Amino acid sequence: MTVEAILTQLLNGLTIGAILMLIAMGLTIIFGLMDVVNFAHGAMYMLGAYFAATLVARTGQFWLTLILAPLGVGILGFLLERVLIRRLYGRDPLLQVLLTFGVAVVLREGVEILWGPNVQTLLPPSALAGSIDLLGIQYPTYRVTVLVAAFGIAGATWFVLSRTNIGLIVRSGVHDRDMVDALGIDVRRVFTGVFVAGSMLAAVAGVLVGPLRSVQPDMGNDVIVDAFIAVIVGGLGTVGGAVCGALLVGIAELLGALVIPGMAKAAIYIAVAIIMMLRPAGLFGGRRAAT
Amino acid sequence: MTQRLAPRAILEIVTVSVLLVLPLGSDRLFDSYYLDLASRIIITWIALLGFDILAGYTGLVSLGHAMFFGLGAYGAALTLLHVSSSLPLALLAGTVATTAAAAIVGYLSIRTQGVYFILLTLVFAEFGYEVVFNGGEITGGQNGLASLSTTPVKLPGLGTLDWSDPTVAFYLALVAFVIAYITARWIVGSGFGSTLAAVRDNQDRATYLGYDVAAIKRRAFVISGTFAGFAGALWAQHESYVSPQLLHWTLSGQFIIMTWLGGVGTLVGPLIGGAVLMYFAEFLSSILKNWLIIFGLLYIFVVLYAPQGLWGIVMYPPWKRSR
Repeated sequence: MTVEAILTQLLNGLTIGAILMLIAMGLTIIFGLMDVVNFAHGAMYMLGAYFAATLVARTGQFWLTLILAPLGVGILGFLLERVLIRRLYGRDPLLQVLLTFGVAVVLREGVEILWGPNVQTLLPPSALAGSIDLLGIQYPTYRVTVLVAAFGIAGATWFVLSRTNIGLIVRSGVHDRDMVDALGIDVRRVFTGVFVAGSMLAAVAGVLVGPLRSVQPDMGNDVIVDAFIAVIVGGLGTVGGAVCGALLVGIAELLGALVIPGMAKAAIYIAVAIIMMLRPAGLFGGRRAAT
Repeated sequence: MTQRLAPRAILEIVTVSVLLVLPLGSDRLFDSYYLDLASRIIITWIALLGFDILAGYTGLVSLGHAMFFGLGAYGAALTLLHVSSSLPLALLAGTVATTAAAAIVGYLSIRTQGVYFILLTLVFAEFGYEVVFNGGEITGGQNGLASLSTTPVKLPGLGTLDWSDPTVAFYLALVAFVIAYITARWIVGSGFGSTLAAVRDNQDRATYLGYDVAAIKRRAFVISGTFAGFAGALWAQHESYVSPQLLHWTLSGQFIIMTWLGGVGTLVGPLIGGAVLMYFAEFLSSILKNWLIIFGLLYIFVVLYAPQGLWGIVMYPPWKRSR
């Protein structure tokens, strides 16, 4: 195993981790704010990829697609929150799990009906073909772009959350949504906004991952477990935790593949189970433990 | 109370009577394929009974239940391949292995609550799936283990029981189910069953009353896992094939859908949900490949408008309910 091989794998892990990060950020805020364990979140990621595959095939405009596809998913997220999720706020969290689970099933099957079971191709922009020299190894330009884009978007999200009034409201809502409501802010609108934003982040992840992994109906189901794991590791309800958790999971998965081929994921699951039992609030301290 | 029990007793008697004579109609009234489907439904019922004891009666919804089903199946399959082709032994081995696994997973999982419990059981199940999927020659990896065969049992004076005969397999499943159903009824009707409900309804109150809540949850988890393992072992012999899909979290999700569709916490509800889903899966899949979308929609409807499920609608019709 050469240093180059390890470095390449490390970068691959970072890329997957960065994709996971975009998904986990939305998942964790939605949980933190609304107590919704959103199993339909993986479907948003899948839809992002499908919308993008179709848009790119029709228009050939990758960058325009990177904006349009998440917008489309955002509209769907808006409807989903307004029509379905909204009805169950404040009820048993289990009902939310059951409901979003049903939504995930419907969206997965719906995509297969509309697009068929075959793998869709999503071509990366031709300008990003080839590879560039990175830290002494040749690394595909598109993957570098994904890294930059994902971290840029995550950074922007972090900025909004930590430095703007909207972010202040969201963070206060995670802390104590009744208080925010009592202060005269319409918390329900904040819920909708956060759900839409979270769905769009997942959709961006779907668009970016399209050219790297196959666009197929099960991609949402496949990613949701990893996204939950990232969120658990970081601590449910914390954005910083979700970011660290996602990068950790991505890197551990691919480096683990070098060390213990085939069993890397199994090892990660055991590690996560241990973390959940010893530190239910996650490595970076979630909103609260064991509720 | 007796009035409420009546529909269930009728359902139980009618179902078992119909099932007892069902094989007579095979190849005469319907294609023998449907007898096979009925066997699969009955085997799944056993797992659903166990799932309802945990989810409905104890209030612990596990998203890792497929792992126990799969473990039972692999336990039986490995016994048949490597140890002995005796079916009773394989069923016993699969079940006991699952009970042991459920004891460990249950001990660890019940330390968490609510969504953390759901997610932790999911993590354990994914671990099981990964191990089986990447298990190389031992588990057959992605392809699973096929051509499992069992030796027929000779009954003195009564002939032989060939387990691979569809009718014999059907009656085996039916007998196993009836035993499982009576056991489950007995459990939820017992004093222990009442403590399960006490834990479900108000955990703190149960603690204050002096119950060891953790021990009660553990026991419910082990019982539930054992049912699933037994069902899985039967499944392995029935299909004579096991694959990692039996441990996948989407199967756990299907258990949840079946249970809530039929009516959680009623024992018969999940059976209705399971039968409806599995029958219509066969029926609808011939017309519509993505039949699951209809169930997804139906399921969303049930969660929103009829959380008591189909059996709840039968028992307490919404149009009769006074508001």
